[in-house]
Amino acid sequence: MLQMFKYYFSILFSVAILAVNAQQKEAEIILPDSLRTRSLYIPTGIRIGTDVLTGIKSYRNQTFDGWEVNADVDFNRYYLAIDYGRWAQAHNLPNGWYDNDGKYFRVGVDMNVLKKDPDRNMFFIGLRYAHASFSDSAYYTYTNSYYGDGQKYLVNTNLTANWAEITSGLRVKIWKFLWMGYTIRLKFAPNIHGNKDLQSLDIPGYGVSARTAYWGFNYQLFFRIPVRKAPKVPGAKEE
Amino acid sequence: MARALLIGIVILLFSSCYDKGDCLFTNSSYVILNFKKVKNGVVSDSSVIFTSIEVMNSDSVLGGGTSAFLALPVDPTKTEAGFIIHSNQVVLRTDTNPVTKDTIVAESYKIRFSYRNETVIPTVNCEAAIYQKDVTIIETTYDTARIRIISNQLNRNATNVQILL
Repeated sequence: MLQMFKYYFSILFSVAILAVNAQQKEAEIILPDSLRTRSLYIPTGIRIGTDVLTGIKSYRNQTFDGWEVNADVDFNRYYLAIDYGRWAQAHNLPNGWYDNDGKYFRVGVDMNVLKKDPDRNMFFIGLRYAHASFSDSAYYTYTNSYYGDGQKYLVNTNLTANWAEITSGLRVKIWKFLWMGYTIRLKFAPNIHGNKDLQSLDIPGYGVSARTAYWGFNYQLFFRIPVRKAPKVPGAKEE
Repeated sequence: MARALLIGIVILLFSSCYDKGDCLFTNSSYVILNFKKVKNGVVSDSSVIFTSIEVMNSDSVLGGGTSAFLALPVDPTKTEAGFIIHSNQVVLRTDTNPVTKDTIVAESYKIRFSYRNETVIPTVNCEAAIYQKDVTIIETTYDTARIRIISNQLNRNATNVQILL
């Protein structure tokens, strides 16, 4: 697992290096003026939003309670993205129950593939590092042919987990400061620390821990707070 | 580099769609002992005549029998289990005198294990199950040079301890 994690991180680093190279080339070719180049990488606004699907799931599903807020800030075509959320889930097992409760965050970078959109609508690909802090517990009955049947109640506190994600999705301006979009996540390489006698079934923000790779989907609504006038996108068509 | 990245992503995509076989349990609550002997340099199973097995710190006594394998139950509410194994060893006569018979020597050995109980729930539709892991011998009167842990997790049909007689 550690080896797999190292492998994925080497990929992430390679992608980051490629991205930096591309960024340098772009700056050299399009805007040779260093002052103008620097100004391109100053943020123009902060987008703050929430995952609507998590809200609906929390409202409709009696065994799930959670929320998630998302934010990103632009650096030209690159976006620093941060997510923070809560996830509490209960599972009924054939011989008992399991539940967990915790918080998680993700931090990473998205790259907008659409270079010339005047509204800076996004189709992006990105990477995330994610971390969760949580507790979980389980109660169940068991059978033992020699010592007889019994029951167990187990609790894990102060658990932490981390994983990585490859993301893709859309961000579209729908009206003035209101944006919507979705994010597809390929979560992988989960690691849990602090487990004792109960192996955690479910990691907040990730899902079933036994799966080494997992899909995730967010449908998000954002409110964008502009902090400065956005410079004209090079090569963009006038509206 | 780009090709390696693409291959990595494709592998991830496929693995994310693969769901592990649900509810496959291989746990057991018995420590399996396997008795062996060496004859002419060849190691093979050695049947032992067990007369009884006492479970330490309890009034329980397990029945005897003849086998090269012995299954000792462990209690999932505890983290230690101890047993006194009573057996008979047949000592073959060494002379050719027809009057002399093989002799039976009664032996008793103590063995005590420690282990960790770990609860595993493979997926949301499965039962929770207990696995005994990190099995170690903490006390024994068997020759320590001739006893070894083969597997420190209790699984069905898996030998945990091998004892060379």
